[in-house]
Amino acid sequence: MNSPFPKNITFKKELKINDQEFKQLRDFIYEKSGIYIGDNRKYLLENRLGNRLKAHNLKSFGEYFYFLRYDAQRNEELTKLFEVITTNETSFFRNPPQIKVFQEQILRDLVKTKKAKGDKRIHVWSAGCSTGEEPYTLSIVLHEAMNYEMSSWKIKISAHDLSNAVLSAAKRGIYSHYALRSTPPEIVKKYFLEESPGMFRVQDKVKELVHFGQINLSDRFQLKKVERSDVIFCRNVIIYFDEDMKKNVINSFYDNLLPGGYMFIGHSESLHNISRAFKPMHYPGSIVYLKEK
Amino acid sequence: MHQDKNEIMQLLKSEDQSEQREGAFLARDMKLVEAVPYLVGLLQSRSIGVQEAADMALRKIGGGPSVSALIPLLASDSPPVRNLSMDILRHIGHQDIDALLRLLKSEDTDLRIFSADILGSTRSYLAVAPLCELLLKDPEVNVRYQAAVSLGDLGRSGATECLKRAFSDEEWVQYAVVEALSKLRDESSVKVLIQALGNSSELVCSMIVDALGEMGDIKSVPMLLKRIEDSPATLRNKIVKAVINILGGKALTFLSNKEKEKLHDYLLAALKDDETDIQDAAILGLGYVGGARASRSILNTAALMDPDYEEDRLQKVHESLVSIGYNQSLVEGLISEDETLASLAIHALGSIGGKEAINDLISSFALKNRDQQREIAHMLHDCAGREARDFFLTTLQQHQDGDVLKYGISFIGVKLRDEESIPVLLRFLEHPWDDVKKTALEAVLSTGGGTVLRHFQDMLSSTDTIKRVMAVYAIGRLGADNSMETLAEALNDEAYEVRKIALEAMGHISPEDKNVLHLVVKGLQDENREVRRSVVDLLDECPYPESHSYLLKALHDPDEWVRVRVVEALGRKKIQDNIPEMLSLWERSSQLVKIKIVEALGIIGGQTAFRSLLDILDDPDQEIQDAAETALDKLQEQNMEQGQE
Repeated sequence: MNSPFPKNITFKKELKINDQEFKQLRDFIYEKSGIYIGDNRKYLLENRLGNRLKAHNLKSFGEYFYFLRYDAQRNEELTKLFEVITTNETSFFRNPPQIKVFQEQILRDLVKTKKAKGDKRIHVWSAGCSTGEEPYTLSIVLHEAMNYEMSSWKIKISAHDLSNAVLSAAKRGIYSHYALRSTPPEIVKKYFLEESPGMFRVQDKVKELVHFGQINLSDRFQLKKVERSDVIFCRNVIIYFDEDMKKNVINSFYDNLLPGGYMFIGHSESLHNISRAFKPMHYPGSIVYLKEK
Repeated sequence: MHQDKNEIMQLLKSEDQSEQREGAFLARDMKLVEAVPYLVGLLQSRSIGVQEAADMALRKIGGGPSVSALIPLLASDSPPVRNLSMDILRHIGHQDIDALLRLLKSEDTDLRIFSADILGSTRSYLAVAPLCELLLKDPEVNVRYQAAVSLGDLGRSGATECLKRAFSDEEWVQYAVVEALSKLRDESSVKVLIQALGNSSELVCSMIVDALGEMGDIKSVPMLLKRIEDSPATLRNKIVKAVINILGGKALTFLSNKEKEKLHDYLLAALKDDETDIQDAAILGLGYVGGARASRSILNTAALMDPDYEEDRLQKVHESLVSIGYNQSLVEGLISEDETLASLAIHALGSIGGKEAINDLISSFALKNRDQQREIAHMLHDCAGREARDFFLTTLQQHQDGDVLKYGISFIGVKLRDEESIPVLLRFLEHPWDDVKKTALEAVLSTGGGTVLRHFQDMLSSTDTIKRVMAVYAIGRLGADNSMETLAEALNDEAYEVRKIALEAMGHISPEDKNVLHLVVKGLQDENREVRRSVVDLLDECPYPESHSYLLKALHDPDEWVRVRVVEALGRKKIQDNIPEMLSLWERSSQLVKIKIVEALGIIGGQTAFRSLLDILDDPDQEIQDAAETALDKLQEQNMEQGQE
């Protein structure tokens, strides 16, 4: 029986989160991930976690809090929780103007500068990589831009996320047609294999550049361990943080970037009131943040 | 990561920018006051990255030493350094007010402006008198202007008198005075503004009108209305907005007919103003003095709004249209090809209701696209009665859209409880989509009756588990005489979902029936843990002492969450005799169950519970110790309260 329908038929009252439960869960999530759920998002938490409660047949959000703290399966559940609260729509070639600026401006200048110095290493960091669409897109862009020169360069894309579940999906590298809705058809043909109708596997040469790992962006000392980067992508991630945490994370990115490195954040995000350290560079349809030399 | 103070100081003294930043972050984390002079030095670094790290650290460390160290930077020749120190001082200046007050006496005009600005952010009453003195006596107009702004930022009513006197100053200062008074928001400030309205320039008047509108004091209305006739169009629109903001819409109905007529024209004119907040005030006002002409003008204004970004404004339009009521302008909107207009008309007509509106909605249904058909179905579901029955029955036969179907099913079954239409509704229990099926289930259960009961009794023998779940649920909801026998049989169903819903149904029908207790307890042996949890939930709610022995048996269930629920139930039943049995679990229990036992002991209370909790305080697990401590505190509080009683 595949339908979730029978689980929705019940004499039990609909699950509602009360103020105390919300506070407990909000503080717990903040402590574990640095993600702050504002009071105005209480009902979002109620909606998104409702299915987790049903999955464990729990009676209340209070029970779920106990489950997260003490149950033998709490670590697995924590991963699910992170997955649920950070669920965000993503796709390959998301926000094409940003990708175009990366390919045609940033990467071109970076390669030119590096070549002049005799340095043939590039490190790109996708911080908050979710299910892998962003780092694989960057890998495809690098393949397209470097073309036959690819083998003479040492290129690495580090891709991190808080949730192990999304990282597992990212490592598998299999996507539905929907994830490729913004991807040009010729790119799909060149870098994906259609394994079954509507399901596409990323080719190995794309995967080879990408190194996945778990990271908690609220932990400054974990971020210090990431190899220093030429470019950082952190799109639609800091929206989950409160202002202090945003400042800390962006400052950690600043420290990670090599002088002359660039940072991309979500097109609707801004560093206003968060950091002045970067120089905003205006390109068509995109602002990129430069760490000046 | 532990860091030595000296190491941090070395990092701060380093020439390397990365090390300077690291030193600043560590000094911030440790709130290291000794680092303040170095951090202030780093604020002047050429690297913005280093400045920013020092900035974050100084804000966190704060205190008198930080304030004193930052003040000299206000005199820096470098504007970025001055601005940065100003910004930090706005954040931490309240920690050393005296140092800032001394700066007001400076001979340097800029320093007086800066210190006045910072004092405005301190929220301290100590700053009021010195700023008033500055406002009235400083020879520099920019200093006086800043003093007025800062008095407004402080928001303390002691400043009203000096702000009033400052109305004799230059117009530039008057702007700041109006803004400051509007922030004070007390009665005397309103008085001062009303007095000034009579003898100020047009620009200052315009600011005063805005301020009075925001302050919302009804006493200012007569003066505002008096000014309206002699004012140019721009100021008149502002006055209209202020009056509507102050009175709200409802109070307009108390105006005389002549006044209403006059205001009606002013409101229609204000609807064409470029400022959206003036338009919004006009929309609100017209809702109370409206008519067909007003509806048309409001709809035309709304057609230019962006539904994605101006949802709130469109909601106000809706409220006004509803308030004006049914008229031909809404009917024209309904048949309009402009989607925003049509949608507004659909919602307004649906909210207004009545025969004419319902007929208009029904007759336009076939002409509309899918989204608007959904909106019409929704509105008719909410506003219509039996007159829409045939419309919905036809729709249920002809339509494919899930949302439209759900409105129709719910209308016929839940709202009309139309027994004649039961065969139509029952068909939807077979619909491929779960949400439609669920709506149909609710609809037929609301209607009830013999046909429905027989249908579900037949469904019990279906090979499809979902149908048997629905049948058992329905029989539980309908609660017929012989349903307990049917539900008892369902306890033997091969699908655990059916057994579980049968248990819930029994509890729903007869929560206090002793026979139910005997029927359900065999579920404690069920192979499925969800079924066993449901039994425990029933036992938890059961008022008879017989339930206790079953709960004690269930304490040894292999599933941890069954045991958790049992412990919680035993806690709620507050029977001290159960404590030894509960504690016998202790050694074999997980941290979760132990914490639940501790909480249950705290609820049960009594000497045994108290002594057990004292013993548990020695548990090696810190979380369990903490839980025991909390439980003991709770018990002691309860004892004290009982003693006081």
